[in-house]
Amino acid sequence: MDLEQRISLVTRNTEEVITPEEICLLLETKTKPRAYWGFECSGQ
Amino acid sequence: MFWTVSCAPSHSPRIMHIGMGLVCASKIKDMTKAGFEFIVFLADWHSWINNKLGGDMEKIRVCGEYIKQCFTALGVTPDNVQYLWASDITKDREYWEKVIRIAKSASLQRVWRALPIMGREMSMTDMETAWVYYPCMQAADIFHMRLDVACAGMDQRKAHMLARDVAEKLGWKKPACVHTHLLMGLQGPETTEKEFDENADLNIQISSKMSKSIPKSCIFVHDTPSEIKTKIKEAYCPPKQVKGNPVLELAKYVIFAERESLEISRPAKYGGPESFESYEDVEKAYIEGKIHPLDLKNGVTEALIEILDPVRQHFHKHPQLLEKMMEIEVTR
Repeated sequence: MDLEQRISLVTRNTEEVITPEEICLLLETKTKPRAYWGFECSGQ
Repeated sequence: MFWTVSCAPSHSPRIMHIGMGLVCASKIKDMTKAGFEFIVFLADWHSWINNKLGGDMEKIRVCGEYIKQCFTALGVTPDNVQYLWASDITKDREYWEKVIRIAKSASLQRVWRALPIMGREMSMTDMETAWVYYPCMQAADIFHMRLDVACAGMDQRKAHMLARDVAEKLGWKKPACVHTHLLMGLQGPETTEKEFDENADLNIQISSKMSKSIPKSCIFVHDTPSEIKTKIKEAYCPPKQVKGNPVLELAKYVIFAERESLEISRPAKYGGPESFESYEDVEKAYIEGKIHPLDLKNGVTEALIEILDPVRQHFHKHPQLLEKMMEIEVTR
């Protein structure tokens, strides 16, 4: 997959990316960049 | 606050809604496809601080396991992502050193503003001191797990901005952020007196988001096909209008995030069935009145029933955890 496709996967359907330049640089330079999403485990 | 998973009292399981389940699952899959090592972080300590499930850690853990199973059924599998509990990192002394360093480098006002929901109009006597730890821990989580990118819904942006600010002050790696849209409740946009955010549009987005407290506004990942049909049938869906239209939002953020096309099965006299290859094409046809709200609703309903099928299948085969969750709901 080329860089452009990877960037478009990360940014599609998002409201905001901070910053697109940082994401681009990251994907260019790091083979396995690390990301997360946190979830509360909750009742109400 | 992280995105919460809710348990609404009901005879059928209604715990994770699709705003969380599907919007997050799709984005996580996008990230792993793009080459990311991805952590799904089950924030048990944060839930405790936020008094979720009565602050009962045992129940909180059951709920976390349940989230893991829902996501796995939706294609976010342990082969592709790492599931990690907050408990796994809070046992490190270095983690708490980071929490304190963050707390020392940000004003109390700055940290307080990173708590989006807990009302700023609350009186000091009703606030728990522990709440202040929450955004500091959210920031520390990012640094402790050596993350390059933090993903969340738009209501989390302030916690991430706090992390970026303190990163600069402390000379730590500044996380990039990916923020997703908050799926609107099926009742349509809600205006509010409450101030969640200074930005007026974002304030409406947060106050209108799909919420378990209004079950009709909310599609749960376990809903039966007939429940999904009824809810979407009653949803707000103004003809030819895109802004504030929750059904079009489902098409955009849920259906096209998971699939390449949307089938609209129109009656022959209105043009007959048509397959749309992109959300933009659907939107254009809808504005022009070529798709009637009822036809849009039917198409979205059918696609959603199919997308959620693996979750129903999973818990049909493995009902134990769901039964435990139901017990927690009943005893609440």
